[in-house]
Amino acid sequence: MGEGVRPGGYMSRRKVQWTLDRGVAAISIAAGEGNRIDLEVAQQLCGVAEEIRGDTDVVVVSLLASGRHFCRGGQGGDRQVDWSGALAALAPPIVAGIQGDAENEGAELALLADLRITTPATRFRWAHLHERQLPAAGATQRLPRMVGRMRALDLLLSGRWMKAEEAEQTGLSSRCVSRRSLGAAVAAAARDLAEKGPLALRFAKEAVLAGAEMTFEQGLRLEQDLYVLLQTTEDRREGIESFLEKRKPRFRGR
Amino acid sequence: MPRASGSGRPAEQPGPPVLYEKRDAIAEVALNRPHRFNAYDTAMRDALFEALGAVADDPEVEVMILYGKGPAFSTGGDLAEFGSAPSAVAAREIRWLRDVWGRLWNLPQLTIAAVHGYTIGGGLEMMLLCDLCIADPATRMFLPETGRAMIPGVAGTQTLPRLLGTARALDLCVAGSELDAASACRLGLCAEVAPTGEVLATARARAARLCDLEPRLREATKRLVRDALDVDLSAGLRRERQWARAFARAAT
Repeated sequence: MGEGVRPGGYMSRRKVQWTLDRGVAAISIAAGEGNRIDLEVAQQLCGVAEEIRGDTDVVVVSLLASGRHFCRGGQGGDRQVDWSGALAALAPPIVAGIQGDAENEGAELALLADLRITTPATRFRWAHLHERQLPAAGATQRLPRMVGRMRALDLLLSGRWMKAEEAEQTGLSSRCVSRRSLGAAVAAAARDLAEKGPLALRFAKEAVLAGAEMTFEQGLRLEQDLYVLLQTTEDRREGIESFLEKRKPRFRGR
Repeated sequence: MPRASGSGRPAEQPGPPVLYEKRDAIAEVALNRPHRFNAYDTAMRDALFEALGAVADDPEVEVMILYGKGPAFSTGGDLAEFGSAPSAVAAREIRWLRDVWGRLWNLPQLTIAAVHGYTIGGGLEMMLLCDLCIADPATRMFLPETGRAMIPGVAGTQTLPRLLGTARALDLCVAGSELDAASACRLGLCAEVAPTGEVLATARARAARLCDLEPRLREATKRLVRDALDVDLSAGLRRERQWARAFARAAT
């Protein structure tokens, strides 16, 4: 970390690109009006996820899409590659900026982030059933874990829009900012996270998400094992020393 | 995180680090390191372990109130003491040998956290291990651990997703976002926001009302609800029905 901006593998004219700047891997999607996840976008999402996964300098991932709408769904071909699985396999926390419509596959993509920042005009909808499809990128599983069973079923069966206000009330949106400041807000949130302990961020995410799949007692064991594992790291010593010396910590991810 | 120096707070330990008092059927356990914002060190954790043991073993106690003396409920583990464990392996062994948090979680009595001021890190996690929470309006709640290259270690990564869902739990556990008393209440983490300065009195009134309930029904409800998410629905319903029948038979 600490080096200047470095371009990721996927360069210009790609619909999905990423750059790395001081621990923040910034993914940007620019796939035309509505940013639909067609086969090409799906493949590029997988490719980018793979590259980020192999890059030990990545502390935080940010995700932004250009244009009026975050993503208005798939385009058939996206079901041939497991782009959602590739993004879900990323260990660092993901911060996403969601503007305009996040619809169907686009709304599923939004659920893969760990923190979502929205705008007043943001709305989500999982209307797969009304297009005679079953969600295939995790909506039937992630939604109930995030907003509860009843609201998840309501959203999936009705295909109704969830507006920014409801997203904030249910915790799907951590923060709502103006469209103009969305990019900056996501970058700032990612930078804030990147100041924290890189391994601690990954482990906290793992403890919450993996622990939610276990009984409470098993989850406690997982949390405790990860907690103790962190005790063996250099960063943990730096975390305590910097606190006692009342200065900002400098973590190195080991 | 806050420091107490120069704030007019007591600079030294005023008596034992945990106070235990019994008023009729209500046990009151107070965290008592006000000069350290009730951050817990080994001595305090051991004292809490003993106090909770006394609560668990006392058949007269029906409700326990956990609160903090001084300006805060608790700021969690005292970082001044961190890193003093001989090794990670030894720390892990000790954690499960004297399982103070397991003891709090598994108390048969109802537990009420009465919180105020900084309720952060392990302090917030302690609150989340209780059955109900009453908060002062100015309570500040967050988990600062990842900022110090740690993760929450008092079950916070497990209690929060089960209370709030994974989305908000990640926000709190990973990003360290802050909650105030009103939002905690709206989200269901707190049963009630007390008038300023009256959190303990409010908790006492609530505890007295809970003492009116039939003790075995109260305990059964606590166990059914907290186990509900760890069993599949049909098993949970079966258990509920069996227990309800048993109580009905005993009542006739």
